[in-house]
Amino acid sequence: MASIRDADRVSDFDPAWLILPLALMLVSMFLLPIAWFFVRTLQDSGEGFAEIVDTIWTVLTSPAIRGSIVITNWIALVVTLVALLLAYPIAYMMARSRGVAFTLLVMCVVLPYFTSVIVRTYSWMVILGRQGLINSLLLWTGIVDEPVAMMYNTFAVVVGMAYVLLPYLVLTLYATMKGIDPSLLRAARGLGAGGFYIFRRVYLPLTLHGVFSGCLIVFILAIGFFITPALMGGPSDVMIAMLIEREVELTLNWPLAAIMSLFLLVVTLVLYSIYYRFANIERMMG
Amino acid sequence: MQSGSLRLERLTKRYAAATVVAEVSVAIPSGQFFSLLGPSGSGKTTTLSMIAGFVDPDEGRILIEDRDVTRLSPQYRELGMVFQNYALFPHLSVAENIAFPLRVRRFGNAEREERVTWALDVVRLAGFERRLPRELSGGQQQRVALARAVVFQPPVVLMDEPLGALDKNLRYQMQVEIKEIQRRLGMTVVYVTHDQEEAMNMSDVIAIMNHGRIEQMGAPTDVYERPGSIFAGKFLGEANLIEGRIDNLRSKSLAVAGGTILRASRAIVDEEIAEGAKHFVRPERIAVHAANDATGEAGSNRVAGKVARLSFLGNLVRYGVDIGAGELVTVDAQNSGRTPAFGVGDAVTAAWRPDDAILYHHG
Repeated sequence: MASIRDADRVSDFDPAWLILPLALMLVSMFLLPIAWFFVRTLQDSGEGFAEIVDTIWTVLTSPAIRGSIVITNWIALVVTLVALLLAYPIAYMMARSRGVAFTLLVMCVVLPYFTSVIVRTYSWMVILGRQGLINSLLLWTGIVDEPVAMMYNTFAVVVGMAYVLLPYLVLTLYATMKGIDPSLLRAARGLGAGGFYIFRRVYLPLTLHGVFSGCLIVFILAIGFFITPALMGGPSDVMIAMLIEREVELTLNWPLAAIMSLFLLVVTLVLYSIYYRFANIERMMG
Repeated sequence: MQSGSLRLERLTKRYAAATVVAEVSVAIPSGQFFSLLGPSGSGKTTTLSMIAGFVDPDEGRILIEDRDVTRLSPQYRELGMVFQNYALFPHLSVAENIAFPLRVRRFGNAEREERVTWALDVVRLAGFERRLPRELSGGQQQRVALARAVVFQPPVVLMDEPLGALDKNLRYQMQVEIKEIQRRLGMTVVYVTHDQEEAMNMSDVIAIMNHGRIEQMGAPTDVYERPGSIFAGKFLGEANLIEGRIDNLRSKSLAVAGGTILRASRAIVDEEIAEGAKHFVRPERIAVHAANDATGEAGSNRVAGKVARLSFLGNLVRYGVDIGAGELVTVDAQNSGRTPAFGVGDAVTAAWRPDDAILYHHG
């Protein structure tokens, strides 16, 4: 068998080398700058390991940054939950529909995915603003006398971010739902189960790993979000990424920015490792 | 087990212009093992899906114990079902899979456990309660599916090619086992299969389906011995169909190439035949003798020929006897150790009784 395969090969060239350009690019443009950034800036924050750790600790426990960490996690959590509630039925519809309906749904989900985040964020500003679409409608119908404040607050941030991140969840859930054997649902119905019972006892449990991995992806992406909260948030909606940008651009406090970046990177990597372990288990379970 | 009867009245299903099931009427009494046998596309699975409630019939009625369930959702039909791919819930243990129909019906804890234990005993899987389906072999998964289908003691159990995924030896073993369970519990079973051996082995009644219609229905021996059509005869085992022209319809005799007259005991009109007629006889009903040997019953059909092909199948030897004009007659001789053995090229006489033969003609 092996000899046949060897004979099939076009040349002795090992295809593993094809990854070289990508690897070079990643190392030179991503890994090295990051390492350089951390090493250089952290060096400035103290002499010796103990002092650096001490500085990091002081920075992370300072009220402003602690507050930002709390807000970041809180917003990421709410965004994940909102996105999940919206994505689950959409993914369900996608998994069940065929033909034109399916194509339309896919376009609705994927097209925004290919559009710039800035464009999408500005569209939400048009919709939610004081003279925006919703407020105009509310005023015109007389439901409210004054425009409702829907921009520059946490609500706007959650709406904008949930919208931007929705496709990740929809596509993850869709893949999971598509993998469910439809004969299981027929079996459940044939054995006497009603719609809600089937959902609770069969469908939902079978989509749980998709829910979990989709939520992790969205959460990971959400804690590092910058553009949407910067454009749509209020003064109190300062997420870590915005804080980092401020330290780099305005106060030029690079050590502080480095410490926060490191923190963000560590949290992301921890979450990603959970996701990876989970995806692995999933594959093992077939 | 309170098994019940099932009746189909002129059940019909059309998809666009095609009629997939055409006026199927069947009365299955309580406790009967009933098989729908046919090639793919014959409408057997659609018929089963209509009984289950997954497909709505265009015409006709379905009655379970004289209750009209034609328009009832599958959820309320109270039928046990075994699916081709088992359809076990992968995230639930064996015990929870079997308990599923009981939980749906809100059985109390004590009775639920009692019934699950009973069902596991029936399929001989006691001790596997906590396993997950993927930790079981195909045969074991099949048993779990069976236990799940009978645990709530439904009046009728539907099975859709449940043994299709198993290998040949295991399949036979499961046939025997399912049949045994069905008999012991007095279950009414509607069984869909394309495997004629499976159908014959298990069924009280077989319905052979073709082009959405039931071609023939009866006990396995009846259908096998007296096929009502060429299709039924060919589908249920090996068949010789010797072509010729009708010599005398009253004596059901056929003249084949070379002038030999073959007589049959019955004559049946078959629309499949455009012209001429065919003489039907099963390979195991034909005896081969040496060419000059005149033994055999008086009045037998006797044809001279030459052994053109020979297959040794272990329990039997299958001869292909060339009787001239390109007509090859298949003969199955039991490998009893007492029958004479012939080789390729030997001149032989094939002989069979008219009682074992049927004449099909176009009427």
